[in-house]
Amino acid sequence: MKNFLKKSIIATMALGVISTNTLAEDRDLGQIFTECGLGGIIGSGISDRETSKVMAVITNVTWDLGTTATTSALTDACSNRKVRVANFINQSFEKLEKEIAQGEGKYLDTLANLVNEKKSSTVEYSQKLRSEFFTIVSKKGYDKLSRFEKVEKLYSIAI
Amino acid sequence: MKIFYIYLILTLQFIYATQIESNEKLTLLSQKSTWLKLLYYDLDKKESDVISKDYFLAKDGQKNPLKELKATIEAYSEAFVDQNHSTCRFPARYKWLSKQIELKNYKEINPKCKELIESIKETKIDSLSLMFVSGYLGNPASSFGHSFLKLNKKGKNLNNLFDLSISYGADVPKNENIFSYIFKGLTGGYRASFSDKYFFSQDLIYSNNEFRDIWEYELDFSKEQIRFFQLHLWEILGKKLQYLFLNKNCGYQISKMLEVIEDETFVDSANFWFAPIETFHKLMQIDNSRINNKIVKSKKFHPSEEKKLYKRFQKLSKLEKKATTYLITKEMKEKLNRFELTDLNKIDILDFVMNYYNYMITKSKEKKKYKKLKREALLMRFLLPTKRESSFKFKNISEPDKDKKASLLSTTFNYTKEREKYLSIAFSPYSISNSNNELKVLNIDAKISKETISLREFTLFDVKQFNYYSLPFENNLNLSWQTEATLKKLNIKDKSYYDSSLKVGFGKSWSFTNEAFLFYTMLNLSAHSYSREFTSGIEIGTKLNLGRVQLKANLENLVKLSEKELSYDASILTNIEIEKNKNIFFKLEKNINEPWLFSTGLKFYF
Repeated sequence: MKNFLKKSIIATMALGVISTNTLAEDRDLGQIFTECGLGGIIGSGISDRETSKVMAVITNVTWDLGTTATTSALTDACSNRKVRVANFINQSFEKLEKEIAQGEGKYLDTLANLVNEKKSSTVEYSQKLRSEFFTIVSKKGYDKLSRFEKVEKLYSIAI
Repeated sequence: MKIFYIYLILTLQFIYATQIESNEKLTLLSQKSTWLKLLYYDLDKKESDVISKDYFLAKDGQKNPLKELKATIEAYSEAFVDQNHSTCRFPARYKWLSKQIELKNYKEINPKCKELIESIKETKIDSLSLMFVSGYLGNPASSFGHSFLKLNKKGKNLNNLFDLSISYGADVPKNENIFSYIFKGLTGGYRASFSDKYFFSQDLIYSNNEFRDIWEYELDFSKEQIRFFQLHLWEILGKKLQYLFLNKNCGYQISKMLEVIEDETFVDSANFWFAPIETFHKLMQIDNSRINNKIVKSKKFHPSEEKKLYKRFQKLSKLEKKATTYLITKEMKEKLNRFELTDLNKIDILDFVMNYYNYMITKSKEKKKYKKLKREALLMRFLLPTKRESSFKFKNISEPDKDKKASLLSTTFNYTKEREKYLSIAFSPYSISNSNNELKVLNIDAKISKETISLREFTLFDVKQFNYYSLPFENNLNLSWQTEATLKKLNIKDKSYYDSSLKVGFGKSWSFTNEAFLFYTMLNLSAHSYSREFTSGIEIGTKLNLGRVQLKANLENLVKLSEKELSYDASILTNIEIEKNKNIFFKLEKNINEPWLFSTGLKFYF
């Protein structure tokens, strides 16, 4: 609670900086990550060394030693909506990839509700997201993108 | 003048009398369980487990609950300068104090405490759940399971993924080596704290990456208790405590946190050892002693992604399984058109395939390959109608509180082929046996004869992992494994020797009838100090779980590598459950260098 409140203050300031720039800057995931201090790349992303953007990668997962006894260096409970969305997509990308293709799922529902305040629009949102994400996934070269680049592309259509 | 002096004496006496009463009252208050729990005060150590200096207002508040109480009361009346005012830092303390003594102009939340107000507004809690994560034998620190709290919110459309979770864990530096990790974890070399993160992070780590099951026990606390918890969380979050892997671990401190809001003891004793699962045993013990006001409202099982994957494959129809195997073993570009499949069939197949590739991306070293294959499956799935994945019911999953307690004491009568009779007693602080794994640590087995008590066997660790989940197209062997380090007394030609040995084994296992029957085979290699040689062996074994009766049998054909001398170890064990934590057992065994031994006795789990 305390940590995320402080982080939300930082995030709000960060977004204040971002919002003075162009729309392209709003879609710069790396800035959100570095300025909000989010970093926990979970899952397959941890071995993704192709990530080219500089980010404060702080992971609370040490694969050799497990996770039971370790604490996160930073909490990811950031209250600002855009930061929440960015963090959520980054951590659960592999799940979202699958559920968007399926058109339904718990993680997709959560993303839709995060982005859309009104419940009635989440179905339309999911359908639109599915259609746009299909375009991204079907493009030649998708396989060659780094995990961060894929996350960034999803974030840019999700928000 | 006389009247003045009489009045002065009477006033001074009154003031003195009042002060004595206040001191007595404060002393009593400082010994109250809620106050000591708020301070995380260890009655044995006579100091708080919290080591952060800013958790205390008195200079020696860590060791002196009375001084800390007095300092807390004094600080209440101090002028408000900034957010570091004590009413902003310790709202739970003052909430409790307000019911014990008079606090002038008391408000539950000081309106000047902006950060506290904002935080309370942002963290709505409707109920608490206590979560148990199953053990993970891939990491010594995770072998005994993990527990954390989930702060449930209702009414939001975010499922439970954005519920906050509260964990307790050590601050381990990145890339810490394993030996340093174990040493510091055992000796208090780490600081730890309670931290918060959204539940989806826990779900991804435990269920999706470590393939561990999670049990959720939703707790039935009142609004008042939840409010008190919320205020206390603000006080303690981020403060440092000393971490001890054996007894001041996640399970212990999460239990202590619950003790702050519930007037019960969740930790009976943790002088040497406390396993996370013990909180769940204690919860049910408390509930079973109550007619009303049970603490546990409901239980929910969250299976790991691995469990769900294998279940998903089992639930496919025969045709779907055939088509799935074909799709995975051939090139993904091969179409499903060669099979007569409906859209629903294709959806079920592709849903499985995508989950399988996600699983392999996590598990396999060939991540690029599986990411590419996953993309092909994604593209095929996009072209089919939307449909939510089926969910499955899992039967015969043992709830944590129904499992036997962690520590084991056994008393045994032994009879050898050479007509020797003797008693023995054994103790292990942690001994568990599930359908797919076994773990025993620090087991001491002593022989009791008329003259002496002598060590029969000491087991540093004995770990077995049976990986019997398999899919027909899996290329990896999905090996089962075991490892054991023991010190055993040998009787050879009427002389006694001690043999320390280290054994490792790898093999395969198969499970049938809803995991009630297990069969395994392992190739083992052992090193022995007594003979200074290696032995190798092929072991076959079986476990049968018939509810209250369990049978275990194994046979290992051994070869001393230097002499090529053949021998064998064998045992057959029957456990009969008399009560949940009490078994009677019968065992027949034959170990290398030893005669046949029959033993029977009682096992007590506590």
